[in-house]
Amino acid sequence: MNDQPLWMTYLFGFIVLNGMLVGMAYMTYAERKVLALMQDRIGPNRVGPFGLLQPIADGIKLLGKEDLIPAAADKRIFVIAPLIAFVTAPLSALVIPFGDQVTIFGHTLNLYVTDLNIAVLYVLALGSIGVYGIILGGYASGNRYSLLGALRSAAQVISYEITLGLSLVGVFILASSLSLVEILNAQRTSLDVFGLSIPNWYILSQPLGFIIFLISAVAETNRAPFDLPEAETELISGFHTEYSGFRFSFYFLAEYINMIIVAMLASTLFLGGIDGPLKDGIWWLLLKATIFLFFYIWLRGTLPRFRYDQLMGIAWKVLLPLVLVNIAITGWVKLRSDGEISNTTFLIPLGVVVLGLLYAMFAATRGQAVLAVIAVVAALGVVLARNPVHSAVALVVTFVNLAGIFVLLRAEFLAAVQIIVYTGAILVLVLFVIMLVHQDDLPEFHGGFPLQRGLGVIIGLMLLGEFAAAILTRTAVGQTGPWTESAVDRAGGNVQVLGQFLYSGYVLPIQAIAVVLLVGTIGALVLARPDEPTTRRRARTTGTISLAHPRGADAELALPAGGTTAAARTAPPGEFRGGLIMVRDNESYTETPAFEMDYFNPASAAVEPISDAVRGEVLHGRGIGSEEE
Amino acid sequence: MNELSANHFLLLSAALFIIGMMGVLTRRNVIVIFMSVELMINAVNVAFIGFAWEQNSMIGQTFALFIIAVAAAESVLGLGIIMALSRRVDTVDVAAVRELRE
Repeated sequence: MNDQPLWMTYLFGFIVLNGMLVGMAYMTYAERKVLALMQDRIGPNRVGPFGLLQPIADGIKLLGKEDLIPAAADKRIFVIAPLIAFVTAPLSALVIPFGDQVTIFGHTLNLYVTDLNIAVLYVLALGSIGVYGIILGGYASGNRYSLLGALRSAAQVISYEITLGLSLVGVFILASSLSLVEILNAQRTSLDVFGLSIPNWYILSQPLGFIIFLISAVAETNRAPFDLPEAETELISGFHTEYSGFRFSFYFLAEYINMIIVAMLASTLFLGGIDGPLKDGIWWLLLKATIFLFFYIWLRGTLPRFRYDQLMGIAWKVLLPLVLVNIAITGWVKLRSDGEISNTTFLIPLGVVVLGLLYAMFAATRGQAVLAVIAVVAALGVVLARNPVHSAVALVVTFVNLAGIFVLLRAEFLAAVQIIVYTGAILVLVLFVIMLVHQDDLPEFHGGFPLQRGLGVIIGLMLLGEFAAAILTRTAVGQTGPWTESAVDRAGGNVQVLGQFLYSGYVLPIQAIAVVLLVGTIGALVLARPDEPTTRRRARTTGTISLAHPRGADAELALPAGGTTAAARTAPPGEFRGGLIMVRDNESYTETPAFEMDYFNPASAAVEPISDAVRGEVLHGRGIGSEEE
Repeated sequence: MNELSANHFLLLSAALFIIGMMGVLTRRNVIVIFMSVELMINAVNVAFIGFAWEQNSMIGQTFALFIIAVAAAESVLGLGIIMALSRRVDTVDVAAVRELRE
């Protein structure tokens, strides 16, 4: 991509990554100061002048704290999860352009670490990998509040990734590129509007996209008012309840670094990044990013947290339709102004982001052997792991490494699609495992299938033999295609070539695939439909108490429930007309009142043991917790 | 086989495919079986893209893209079926689901 020596790229990457860490430390300081001012307090003021050394003192404090691992935790995942969150966070900074070229010691240095042609997808992909840190951490803690936080986080991130990605499609269409450097350069031209020269910043041509990006980005980074995964008042900090010491600080670091990244990304994508009056430069980028960060803090200081159904409602009922309208209008205007329909390059990113999210692999390394070995080892892990959650994690590792191999094979676009489709799919798988499988009744491992095992070995050996024969005897027939590495580069990159290829010769198959997907989706909706659609309506008329709600969890009346762990939850007097009693053992609960009780006269409330019939229904029946909701 | 060639990727593909197949045949947890199927699909993609790379052709990549799209549809339906199944028989053990056989 350029001729600067590799060591300078590494050096600059090193500076950027460490800059992120310092920026993050002072972001916490700024947040506490600004919040304090908004709340008429002083904020940190003890350590150093104006409290400026407070972040360093906090860091030392966190390092010195005891690192607890709960007894109920899934220890390996518990240790790995914060690292996933922390490692993926600052990597996005590598594709953000911090300026033009500068000359140092006779070398020309590009002020960006790398100019990926799928840079924006790369950032979004890292985000979707990073959420695994939260979900796995919540799962591995062995704590219900943490698990609830993790499940919320998964649903929230999947929903908002869609709107986040789609909100950028307008920008992709206008810039005809996914590369941040090219998107930036496209904005550094000026427009003549009625004789006035104004900058071509995409906030002017994509105001709707910008607003949706801003909202989605807040949700993606789990910040207030979308901080449901860690809602302190309901979930006791959610996914990181059980984390302490430096493992906790990894989550903390990741959150703030993500904020900084999103702020810089928003500045670069919509506000012209380093472009500005007088002289272009990194200071403009930092200024714009600072404004965004202030906006973040302002939101936190001002808005109350959303309710969970409101959160999902906003994403699916408001933002998604709006963002689709935005794409349609932008595409139409672009086609009109180009005067041609054959510009297919933008259809590809559109398809990509519609499919979900993504992530890309560190390219330019020649580590194919390592990638292949890790992929195979992880694939073995999928089959051999006893716990299905471990299988799912191993599957993610396999797919990510295969994506890396795709990059080596010059299939960058497929690598991105691979991550988009499969990280999303596996995320759902992990959720399914958590929902459907109880730890203590995992199916017997490998048991009872000796026939299949023998058969598998035989077929496996036969297949291996066939592969070996094919490899040893095969000869290339026909002539090789025209798409050598240089030819692809000349045509504008893998995405462009694949786009031309698909939309010239394969339009009909694409439509067919779209129909298949549509039918599949409808089929899944039918299959997943609850058996009794009346349940929900009944729940609404009787009222429910969320498991996540402290009032619900606070067992005011501990029931002497016939020797089981059942506990009763009651609603406070006056809130409901009927007698609402939620009965729950360790695994399920029901909305069916177990017994009636007079709220207005608690003294007379006779607490009766739950009948066996009711308990049977709770244990084996259709509890609302497990499927309908 | 010192020079990096499609053979290497064929080997990788074979390894992944066979691992996935063993998973499908030996595991009893339907979710893990589902993951193993995904593994086999991906093994095929590796072979396609490896050949496309060796032949300087885009056709292999195009095909792999279609495979991924179909695999997405398949996983949507597969998860739907798993969901319906687990709701019906309250287990994810494939050995427990034998209504059609008996």
